[in-house]
Amino acid sequence: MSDLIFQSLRIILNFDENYFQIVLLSIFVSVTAVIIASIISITISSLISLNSFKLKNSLMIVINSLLALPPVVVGLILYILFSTNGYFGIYNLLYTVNIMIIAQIILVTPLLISLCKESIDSVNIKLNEYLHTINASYYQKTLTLISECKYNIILNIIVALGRALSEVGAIIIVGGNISYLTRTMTTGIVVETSKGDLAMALSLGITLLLISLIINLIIFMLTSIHKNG
Amino acid sequence: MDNPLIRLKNIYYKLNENLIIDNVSININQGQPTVIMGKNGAGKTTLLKLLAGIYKPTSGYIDFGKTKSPEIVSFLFQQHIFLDRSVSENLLHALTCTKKNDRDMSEQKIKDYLNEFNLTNYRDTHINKLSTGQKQLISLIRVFLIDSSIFFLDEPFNNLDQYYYSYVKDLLSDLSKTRKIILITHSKDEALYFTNDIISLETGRVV
Repeated sequence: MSDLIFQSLRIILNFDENYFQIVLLSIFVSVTAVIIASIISITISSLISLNSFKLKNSLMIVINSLLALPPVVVGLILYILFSTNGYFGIYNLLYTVNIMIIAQIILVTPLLISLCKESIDSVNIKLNEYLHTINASYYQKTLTLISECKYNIILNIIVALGRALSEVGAIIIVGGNISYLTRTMTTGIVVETSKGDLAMALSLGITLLLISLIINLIIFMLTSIHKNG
Repeated sequence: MDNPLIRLKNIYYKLNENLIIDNVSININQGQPTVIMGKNGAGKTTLLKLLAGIYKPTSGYIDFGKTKSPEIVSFLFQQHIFLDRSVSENLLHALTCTKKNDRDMSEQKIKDYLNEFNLTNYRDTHINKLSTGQKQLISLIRVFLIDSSIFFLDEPFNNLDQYYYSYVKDLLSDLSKTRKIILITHSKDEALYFTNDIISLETGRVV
């Protein structure tokens, strides 16, 4: 056991090429997906929060239901749609990094919309009457509310990044877990364990835990800064 | 007699099935300030917000006269509402949204008011670090900066020490010569200092 841990640490500290490439790709896929999902989610959540329309509650029920969307189902649906005979087969995206990013966007967007809407709603309740008295335009109102809950939005984005990094079900189906091409930390752990290369699997696991620790540390620091003004 | 500034006819206002304003019909006339009085929970704040156009009545008719509906209103909230920013950023935000002045002019105005209220040192202080009394003063400054034709003031003397109490009282007295003031107070002496036009509320009804 101690030998295994030693080998894993050696892989990490030596920046083993295979290991390093997997970690970089994981971060690239998740960060790109979360950036795109954030832009979509902040726009949609502010639109939902600031407008009254007939199916508002129904829409939120649908979005909240999508939070429980099983990643493997997302992977399967994307696989069907993007396979050679699928509707989007012509784009040849299957087993590429792009389809992995799309899968993660689909997975984290409902989470981000739900969290961002909560944040904007809470500030809107507090500021609504004041913004009414100064006759703030729709644009000014949106900008003010987003700016007032920016810390919460950043926290939501970090939470989404954590979810994206730890996701395995969807990207293993659409990415194909191809070495040096579409292998991420989570899919790497699956394949290296089945291959019996436990040192590599453990080194990826330790890295994933370290990233999770860093994310939580950032969340803690941001929350402290925000609380202390 | 002139047309009233604001006319309320058979106004009802319900909140979660609770009747807060119960068949109120009043005229707010130009001239001396109007004071709304009543016990806690009588509906004073709700009535003031209906007059300012912040709340829409459940039923009844509000005529805002020539102004149709007040778009920008100098409204002093009883519960302070501020952005999570510094004093000057809060004041600048209000002026920017109301588009009253350009940025330089707004900053100069803010500087002048803070100086007038002896609060210059708090210009860059975060709003949450001020005392309740100081927040009340910043709220009042914001109301003066917005400077609409009608001032709606919900308990303007709350949390003020003797010096600022007299200072704000004199300031409002001067202001009432050029602006219509509608204010809420619990003190009959305060009310009579400003006006004879007093609306007394009891459980949502004018008495």
